[in-house]
Amino acid sequence: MIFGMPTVSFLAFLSWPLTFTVTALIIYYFMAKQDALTDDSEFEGEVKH
Amino acid sequence: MRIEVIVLFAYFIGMIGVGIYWNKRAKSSEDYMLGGRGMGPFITALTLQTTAMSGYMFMGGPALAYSIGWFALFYAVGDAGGGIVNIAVMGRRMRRLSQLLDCISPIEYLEKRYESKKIKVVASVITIFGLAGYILAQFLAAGKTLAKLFDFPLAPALIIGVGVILFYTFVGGYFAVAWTDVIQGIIMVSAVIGILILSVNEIGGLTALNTKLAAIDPTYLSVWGKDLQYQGAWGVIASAVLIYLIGYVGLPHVVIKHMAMESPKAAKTTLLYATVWNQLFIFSPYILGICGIILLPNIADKEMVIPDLAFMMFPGFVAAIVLTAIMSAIMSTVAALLLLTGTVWSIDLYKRGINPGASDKQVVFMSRLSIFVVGVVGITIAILNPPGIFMLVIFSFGVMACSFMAPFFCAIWWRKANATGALASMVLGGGTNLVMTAMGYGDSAFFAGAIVSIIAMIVGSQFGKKTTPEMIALIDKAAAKNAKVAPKLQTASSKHLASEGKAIAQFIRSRELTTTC
Repeated sequence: MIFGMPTVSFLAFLSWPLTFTVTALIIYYFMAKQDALTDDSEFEGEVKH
Repeated sequence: MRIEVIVLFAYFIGMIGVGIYWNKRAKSSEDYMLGGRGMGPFITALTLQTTAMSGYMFMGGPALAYSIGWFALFYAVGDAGGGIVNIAVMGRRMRRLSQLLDCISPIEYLEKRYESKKIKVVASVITIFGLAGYILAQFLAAGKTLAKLFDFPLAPALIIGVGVILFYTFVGGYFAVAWTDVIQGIIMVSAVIGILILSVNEIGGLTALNTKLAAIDPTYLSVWGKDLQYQGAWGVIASAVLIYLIGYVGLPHVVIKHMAMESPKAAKTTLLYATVWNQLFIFSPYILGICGIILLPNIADKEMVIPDLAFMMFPGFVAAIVLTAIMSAIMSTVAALLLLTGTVWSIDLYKRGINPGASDKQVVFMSRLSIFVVGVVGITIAILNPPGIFMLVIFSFGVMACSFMAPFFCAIWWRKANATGALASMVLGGGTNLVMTAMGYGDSAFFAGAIVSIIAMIVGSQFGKKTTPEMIALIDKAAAKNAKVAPKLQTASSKHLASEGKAIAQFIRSRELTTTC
């Protein structure tokens, strides 16, 4: 039992916020690495007024 | 006058103020419809997520959790992960390709990517009917919510509530919609987190909540739902998770937000903000529904769990802000739908169909006109509420998602995807969803429609005209590969020199001349 609910239920319902946050951080890391190797200057600030 | 009505009107005045403030900023059609492609990560994240969340999160979701216990959270899982999938998969590439193709509208984007006028016609028809249904559903929800929460008669509630949304969308365009979304997103998350902390604390903590639930009925805690009613129903669980996990990729009013990002590099930070907001917001209303089982055991209307808890936990003024948060959820979705309607009419039908030489001012005028007309017609239909009209609207989300998911995804991830595949995918994917929903298989309609859509794209792309080398070069460039783009198409990426349409026409003409010579 975790927080008064069966372990399976806890994992099925309440583990997702942590799972998604960790997933987002991992994806962020890889996207940042790709961005560092990419020249996106032509897509930046072109139509700002 | 009651405090909640005063707070609501103050909020409405604030939203109108935002519309007026941003009115002067929208100078061109690109400003009005895409915020000048200048939206930073925080704004993009909140406008993406609040657009995707409707009033259901405050009323339908908690009511479901109140009825079936923790199982209802399966419906939140897809929503909570949907932002990650949407931004990580679509964000950067769609932002780059939409600029390379010089697109303002998502329909224009599909037409240019798949190099086919037929795509524009079919996509416009699906979008217009899909949006009409979706808008009507949200109008009805806005009116009914105002009537329910604030005791307003339905007709005046609709006119006031929708009138405010119409005003700030009409006046301020994308800037106003995005910034009101930010304000609405902050109100929404603050409201649910505040009530959640106080409610769980009132019960004695999470463990006490579960212990008390188990004492009433242990199956409230089961992964199969109350009374084990979903035991072995893996299909229902898969559909509940998948529909929102991948469905947003197919919604034009959601993916247009990628096109408005200030740069492709903004996507990664957008992803972080969106994920944090999602985890804070999306699960909370469902958990509040579960808290309601303990705190409000005799509630007459389950959809009123959050409003009732708000008045139980907070003084009147703060509780009134919570009611305003419910309206915020509906308003953020309606505004995005109205703006996209204006974009489709003014860009895809007017500028790229009826009057190709239209000036920027004329395009913005047409967009505003169509927003106004759709708003007035929508309010009128919603007030009349003819029998059967609500049946039409339940198809909107599924049909649009199943029609466009594969074409939007493959546009940037599969170079071989062509117009034949995209057409087959839109017609068969959307059609499958429509037919299955009409036949009463709504639970599986999305799953079936998505599968058919993907298969149709793969099979269809084996036939018809292949993707041109020039388009492949642009797709590679959008994928940040070192692609060599044809000079004429390279020219198209510069808005200061020529539109993509002109550049492609020049390129084709020059090729025809070479062949003739």
